[in-house]
Amino acid sequence: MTTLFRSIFLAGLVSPSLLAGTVLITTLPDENRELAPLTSLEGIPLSPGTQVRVGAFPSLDDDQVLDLASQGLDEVVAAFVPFGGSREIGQGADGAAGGFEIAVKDSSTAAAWAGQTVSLLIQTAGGEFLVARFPGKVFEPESETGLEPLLCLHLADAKVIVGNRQNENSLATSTAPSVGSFDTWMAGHESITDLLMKSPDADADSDGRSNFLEYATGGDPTSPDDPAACGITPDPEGGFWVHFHRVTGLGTVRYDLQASADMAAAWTTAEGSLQPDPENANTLRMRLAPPLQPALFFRLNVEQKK
Amino acid sequence: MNVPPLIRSTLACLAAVFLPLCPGSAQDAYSSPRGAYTVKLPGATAEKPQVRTYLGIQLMPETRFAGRVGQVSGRVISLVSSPDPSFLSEIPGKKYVHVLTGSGEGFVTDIDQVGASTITCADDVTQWILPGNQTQIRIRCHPTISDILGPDNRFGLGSGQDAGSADNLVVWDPELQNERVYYFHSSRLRWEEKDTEADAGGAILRFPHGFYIVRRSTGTLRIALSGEIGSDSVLLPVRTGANVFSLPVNLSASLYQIVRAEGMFPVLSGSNATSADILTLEEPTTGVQRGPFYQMAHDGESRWCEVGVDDSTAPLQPLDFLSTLVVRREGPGGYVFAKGSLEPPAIPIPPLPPDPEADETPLFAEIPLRQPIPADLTATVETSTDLQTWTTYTTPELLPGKVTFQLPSGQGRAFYRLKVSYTPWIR
Repeated sequence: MTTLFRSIFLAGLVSPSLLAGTVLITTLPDENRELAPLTSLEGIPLSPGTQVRVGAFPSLDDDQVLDLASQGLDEVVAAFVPFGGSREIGQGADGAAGGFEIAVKDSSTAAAWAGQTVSLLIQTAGGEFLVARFPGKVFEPESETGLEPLLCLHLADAKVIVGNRQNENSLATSTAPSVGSFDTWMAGHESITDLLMKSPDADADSDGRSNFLEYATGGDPTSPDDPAACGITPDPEGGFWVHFHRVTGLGTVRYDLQASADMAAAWTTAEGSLQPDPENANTLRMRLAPPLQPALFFRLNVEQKK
Repeated sequence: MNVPPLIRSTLACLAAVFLPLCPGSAQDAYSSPRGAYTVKLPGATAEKPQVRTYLGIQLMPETRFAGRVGQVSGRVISLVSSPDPSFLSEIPGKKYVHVLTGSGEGFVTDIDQVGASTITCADDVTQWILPGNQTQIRIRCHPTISDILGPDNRFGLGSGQDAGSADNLVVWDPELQNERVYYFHSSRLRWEEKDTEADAGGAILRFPHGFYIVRRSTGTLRIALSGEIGSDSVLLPVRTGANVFSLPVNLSASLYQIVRAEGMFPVLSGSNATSADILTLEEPTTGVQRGPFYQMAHDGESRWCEVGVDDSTAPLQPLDFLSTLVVRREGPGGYVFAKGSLEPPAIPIPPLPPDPEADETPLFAEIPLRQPIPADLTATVETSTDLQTWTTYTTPELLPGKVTFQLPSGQGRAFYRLKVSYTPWIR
């Protein structure tokens, strides 16, 4: 090896790109993003002591992160590469429950997050967690002469992978989901061999519920006899509870309880507050208080947000 | 005590050319204060192969004109006290107009052309300058790389055959959202721009933008920045994206005191950090980045916030004089007012620890003279950190057109003036 070649080789070895910069994430609302305070699965605003970490899941797509989450929080933490130090709920938000505004800086030379999607991992002291990713936002390597990168992000713009999105502006942590991604869940039902019957829109057991609806409500795509996903039950005060089963922790799944006066008119999102059943967090319910309308029909619309 | 007539008249003449006159003994005259900062540029290490130090243009080239504007028509202005501004054409360098008073205070525009009786600016100045002897302006030249670092790389930044092997001077271009990189070529012995084989010593460091040094060579260097004290307030031209700015000298030197948060030309405020301008301050002394800060506006109230720090007092804390401001904006471009001030701070700023390095190369500063100092007069350099309290510093070396003196070891931010005294003979 000539002297010149050797020196060039060494120069390449000792000059790694610096990976530094700042990631700024906020949950504070503004005129375009009315994000409500983050809550636990039971709807209680997250308090200080809930850890917030910025980082990445290198080389894992969203489904793979969800699959990991179904195996438990420890698997998620093991795959997570942190950027900078951890923060807490309330930090930068005057201690307000359920909110934060943080700036995380890292000047290490680790290359693990180069080009990876910026991700957020929120962990409660009780073991619930939320994983979100910011589509299109990646950790940029700091160039030798450019300005240090600074990313400014709002949690309302993130894609929640693990956690619960109660509505457009309401996010909650979750226990580990009981299932992973749709594809992994469907692959576990080996009796369904027809590829066409594996698609989300297919109804493999011909029970009137699509495979995706079965997935999102904890059903069985191979059995037409599994319990109904929705129900209406009276309460002692003369009202009714409209309730449906869900799988907690599927962050990209949106549940929309819709109502119509006669099923001929348009279906619209039911008016009222959808809350977890305090006795079973896997059930969401809405109360219909008297006086009641003469007739009201409900349906559950489930969709996956990409 | 009788002052001989010749000495008396000489002293008075010298006093007349030192502007402004400062009160002292009847036998003393003082020059206008000038600034001289000594800045340490840390070198690269195994852990940090590139180390950057942000710097601002705060000590300015000589004022070429200070006075009032007569007529204004679009981009064209005339000067009240200088009906023939053509003398400006004889001064090399790219010049600019800085508006000092009125509603356009702080506005900066380049001079494109100097005529026999008028000056043509790069921008329409109608909204910035009132005609009829109402607006004061100052004209200076933008400093160049050679002005700051010497055409011969006098401070010894690492040189190389290309930009990637040398220390760099980097200027951030906010229009292009990209950097321009300069270095000292080790063979051609001149400043060049990256990938461009041409003399770049005359490349301007456009006021009020800042720049930074990226060092790849090892060992700490010291540089001296000196010049007129640039305490005029400035309208910082903020573009969408990132912007790097020099700040005017402000002896209070806190974010709260310097950057306007309300009124005319404030920073963009918002209810959270993603909806407001984000400000960071780069300190050359420590290499520390202060912030990010933003102006939070919510429910009719507004205040400076440091992201992630509740009840932060950092916006009120004094900064290194020479801190460089980086503004990041999501929305459309505009102007942000930055206030210069020589008012002494309410709380004295602690002096910068000199922290001298072993085997430092001495650095020198100079004070220009418009006429020689007679032999019977003594010249002394005085120093101050607040422009209020002056102490004797040293006896300078007298040279044609200037006096020179050695700066203290280590790093510092200080002001200097020349005191000329008559010491009578006692018979």
